[in-house]
Amino acid sequence: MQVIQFKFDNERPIYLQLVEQLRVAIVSGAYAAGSRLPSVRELAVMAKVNPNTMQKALTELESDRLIFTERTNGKFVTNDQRLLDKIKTELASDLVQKYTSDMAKIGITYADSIKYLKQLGGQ
Amino acid sequence: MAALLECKHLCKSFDRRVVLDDVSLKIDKGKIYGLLGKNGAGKSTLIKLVNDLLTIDSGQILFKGKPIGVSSKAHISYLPERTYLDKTMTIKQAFKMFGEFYADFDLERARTLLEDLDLAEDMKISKMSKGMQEKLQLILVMSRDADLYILDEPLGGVDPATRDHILDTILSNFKEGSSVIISTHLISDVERILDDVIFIDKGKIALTGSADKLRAKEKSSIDELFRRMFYAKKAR
Amino acid sequence: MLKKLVKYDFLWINRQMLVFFAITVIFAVLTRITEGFADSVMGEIIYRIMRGCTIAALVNAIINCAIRIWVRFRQNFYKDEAYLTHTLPVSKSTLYDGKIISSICTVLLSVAVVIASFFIAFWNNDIYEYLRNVFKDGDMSFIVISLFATAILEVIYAINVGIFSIVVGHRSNNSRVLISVILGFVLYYGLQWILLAGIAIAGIFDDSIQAMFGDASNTSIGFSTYRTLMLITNVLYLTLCTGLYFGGKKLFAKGVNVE
Repeated sequence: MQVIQFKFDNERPIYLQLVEQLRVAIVSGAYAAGSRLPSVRELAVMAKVNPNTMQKALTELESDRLIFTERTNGKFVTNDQRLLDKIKTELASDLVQKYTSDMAKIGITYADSIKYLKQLGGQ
Repeated sequence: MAALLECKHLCKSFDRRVVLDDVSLKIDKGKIYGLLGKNGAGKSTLIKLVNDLLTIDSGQILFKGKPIGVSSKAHISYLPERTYLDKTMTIKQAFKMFGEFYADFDLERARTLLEDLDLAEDMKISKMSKGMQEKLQLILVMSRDADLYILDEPLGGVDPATRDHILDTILSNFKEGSSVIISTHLISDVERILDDVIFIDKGKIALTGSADKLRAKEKSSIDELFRRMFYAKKAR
Repeated sequence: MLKKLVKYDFLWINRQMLVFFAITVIFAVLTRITEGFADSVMGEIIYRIMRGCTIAALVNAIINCAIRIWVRFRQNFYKDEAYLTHTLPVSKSTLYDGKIISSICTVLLSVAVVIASFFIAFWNNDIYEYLRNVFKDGDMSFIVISLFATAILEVIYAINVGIFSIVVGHRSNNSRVLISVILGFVLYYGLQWILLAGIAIAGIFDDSIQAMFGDASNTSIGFSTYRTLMLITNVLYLTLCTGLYFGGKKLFAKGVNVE
């Protein structure tokens, strides 16, 4: 069973944080396309959260079609590579936007921030 | 659908000191509840009433629609704050006793959980440290396939590593579809496993609600919300 | 469930009593052995000491039996262990019944050990002849057996008084042992007055019993008088025990307040 480290801050709804972190786990391939997810209970124990909350998060991911349920076998990661790529792009765009806007806050222009990225990004 | 557990207008006083004042409460099936309050807020009294350890002054407690009694005890698994085992017994004898009295006791699960503690079954309970005895009690309580688990301060006075272990034990062993009530004043340690919270203060229910909804609405952790509600006045 | 409760309780108390039983039997055996030394002065002294110890151990076995039962009752129903006892899927009246049954069994076992030890220590031809004569005579054997029953009933009565007092003393939220102890003594002696009053009332209807309250050498006091007296005493004891049992059970079934 692939173990994932979950981290929470208690100030936001736990299920939202679960959705975010599971999305990352799937997009990054920690839970590979088409592979079977651990059971709700196993995931809940792993994250040290309530199984109901985990269920809620998984239901949300399911409605996004990132995962699907096979009636007897449990839950699986989608095989739809296009969907995975799309979500990855969304996540990347969020991160880039956060990066550039944070840089802008400390007075670094977009062009300069790319330079910074090239110089320091490899570290 | 009838609630799993329902308290109606419960009152309890010791001598003239009112400890619970008109407490009404519903516990539904399949949820984890946090019964949160300061020391002396009435948490333990409420729990002891539900477990028939105190006489009710006025009000009613219903389990699956019927007054508490033999059948509620068969389906409620209760972890008290005290160490309640007969100290002359060995672990094995305690397992046997639970098996004899509780039809829902799962001996195999108890044995598996005991392996984590690295204790021999023929060890006498009187030879174990208080912390170990508490862990053994948690094993006994979580090895039952109960409909309701009531855990009174399961995290009191233990180190963080043990806390994680205890939460793990609770999360991985309570029967699917059952409910759990965790009473504690250590809110930040348990809040992420709670579906619903029940704030109790000075013998009254101050707030009930879904933990995630409260987080979204108040934009703060349950712990913070609790502090704001019950400590703010003092700080000023 | 009742059977399981009785089993656990009986085993628990008697595991503790085992020590006292062992001491009693050992002294009894030592008394028997040292009896043979009685022709020397030292031997005589040792024998007498052993005899004294045996008698003390016999009394101790009965007293300790009562004390263990009370202590166990309190621990099991009102102290830390109560958190388990009262959450077992068993009704309060069944819990109470279990306790009473196991107590009576414990008393009977203690009495059996005491009798066995007594015979081990003191059995000889004189006692044998004496008992043979007693049991040849119907009246005498009736009285001896009745007296024996009275003795056992007295112990059971005392234990019931104790248990009843513990229940009453722990009714309130801040239970005090002192209330139980004082109530125990008051009840114990108070109820025995009822016993005596019962016999006095019987005297109104039976002149020979009436005579016992006066001149003991009255000639009208015969075997039949003792017979009636024993019968009344035992019936009254039994009634008191039953009354205490039902009273205690009813109070207990109303609920407890565990600290």
